[in-house]
Amino acid sequence: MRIAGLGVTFFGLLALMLLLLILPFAFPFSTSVILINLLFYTALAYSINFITGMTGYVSFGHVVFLGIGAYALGASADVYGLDPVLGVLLGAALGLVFALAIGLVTLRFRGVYFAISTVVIALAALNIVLELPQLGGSQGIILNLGFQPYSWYYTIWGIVLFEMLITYYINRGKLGLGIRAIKSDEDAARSVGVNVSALKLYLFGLSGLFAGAGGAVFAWTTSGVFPYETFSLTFSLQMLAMIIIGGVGTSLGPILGAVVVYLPSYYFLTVAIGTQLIIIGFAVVVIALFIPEGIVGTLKRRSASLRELLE
Amino acid sequence: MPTLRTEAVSKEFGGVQALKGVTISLPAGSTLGLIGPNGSGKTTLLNIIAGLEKPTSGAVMLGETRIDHLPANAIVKLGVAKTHQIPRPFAEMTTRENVSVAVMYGRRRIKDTKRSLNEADRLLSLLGMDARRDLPASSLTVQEKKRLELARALATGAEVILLDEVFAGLSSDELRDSIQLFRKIRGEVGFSALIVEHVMGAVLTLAERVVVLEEGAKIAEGTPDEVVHNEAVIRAYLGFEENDSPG
Ligand SMILES: Nc1ncnc2c1ncn2[C@@H]1O[C@H](COP(=O)(O)OP(=O)(O)OP(=O)(O)O)[C@@H](O)[C@H]1O
Ligand SMILES: [Mg+2]
Repeated sequence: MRIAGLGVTFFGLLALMLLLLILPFAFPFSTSVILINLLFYTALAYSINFITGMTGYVSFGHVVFLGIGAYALGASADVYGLDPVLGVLLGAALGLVFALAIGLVTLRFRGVYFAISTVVIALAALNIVLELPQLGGSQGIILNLGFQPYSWYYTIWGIVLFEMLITYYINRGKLGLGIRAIKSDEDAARSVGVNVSALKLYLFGLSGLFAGAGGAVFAWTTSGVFPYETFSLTFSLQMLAMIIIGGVGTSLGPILGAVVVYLPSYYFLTVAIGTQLIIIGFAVVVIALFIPEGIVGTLKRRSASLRELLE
Repeated sequence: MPTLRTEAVSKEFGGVQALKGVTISLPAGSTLGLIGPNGSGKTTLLNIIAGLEKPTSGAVMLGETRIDHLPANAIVKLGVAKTHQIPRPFAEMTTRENVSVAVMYGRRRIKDTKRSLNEADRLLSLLGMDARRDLPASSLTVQEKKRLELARALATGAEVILLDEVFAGLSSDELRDSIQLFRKIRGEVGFSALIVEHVMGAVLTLAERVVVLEEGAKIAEGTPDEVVHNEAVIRAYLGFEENDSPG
């Protein structure tokens, strides 16, 4: 069942996004705050899905782009009084530029070497920031942007919408096929003409762009940028957990994963963050052991009718 | 359709001289056989032509264009495609998706998914693999995977095809069928072919000319008939025969 080549997953996601568009008006405010966080995590999940989900290159230090976005908004709002929405665009642009520059070097490494290089870069970035008085050093930047829930909400909503559309577009066409070939066997992909290096860089760039935008929103909602929180590897782990649980590479997996990872941690807010991580880690191990393709991949494999519907 | 040439190509792998100044020429539309014992450098030469390895010295020319500095994917787009000696299918993808990637990213750059799948189906049926279309490539037998290699190479729209031991490991009946199939495909899709084998059977039947490598050096070149009667070749293969039969 396809309309203009678009499947059920596309219309399902579109309907969900339209629902989310009006939801803040229908519910009390506290619900919107949950939704903002949920959308924030969804944005992060789609972001890492571009590179790790689609190509299998594990970007373990993906938080570096979140940090770059957060500091872009923080510094531009603090020093130049730039409008936060422009700060988010700046965060996205810097996320893209840094991802392209970093990817140009690190995407040459394969497997675990790539993963390690991303962690090294994330740790280096934290230590560079701590040494920069312009960025507030270890104190970070305290902003005074006020409580702007609707602006937060619709900005992060817009980011997620873009991510979903781009993910869906990539997955259903020529790009998606080439990317699956890369994930399966990079050299074989090259030998049938796939421009492997360019495609990987393109995905890493997209991934950095959206992580940067998400990071800027994070700084905006917390009205500050604090280096240890912003560059926390916890974010990297959560991002990976979300796509592994939801289903790597798919269009539907990241939002499913975000719901599964974020909502419990919201309701168990009183549980210490360390304990939450242990639970998430445990869930990832169980998923990896028993349903390695995540929720979406497993449903597709189990049921022929769902195979057509879920993308 | 341009001529493919290697000019004094050498390749060293950390002290091992895998190729020593090898010059070959594959005129448009022709079939050249490349034979030699195990480890004589056949696969290395194909890899260099296909851009998967860079030569230590020498050049690879496609018509007037020098291609040895280009990445493999760019060389495919110029119309040169190679099969892998040990098949490397995209295991998680179906057979037709495997071929479809090559249709979309090869020389023809067909963008439309539907058209590319149709073209993949056409090639798979030409190769007698219709029944395997929707199976994951990982479930194919070794011989089917070799055919898939050929299907992907054809699917790129290549004018020059480099075949690395696609006829190896077949029974004599299968070999006869495969040779017939190859001729049929050749009739429908025109291309030049560089056929590597370390057993002589298929090469001597299909190739117009044959080049013989031994320890990285070209020791003979000529028609199949000339080559099998060449002293140096007989010596190379007799030395080789002690541990394996040359077929
Ligand atoms: N990547 C590599 N690194 C180091 N040595 C290599 C590499 N590839 C090939 N060689 C060496 O180069 C020589 C030629 O190998 P090649 O695979 O080209 O031979 P071949 O003629 O294709 O043999 P076969 O009939 O077994 O396929 C061998 O000595 C091999 O060990
Ligand atoms: Mg070989």
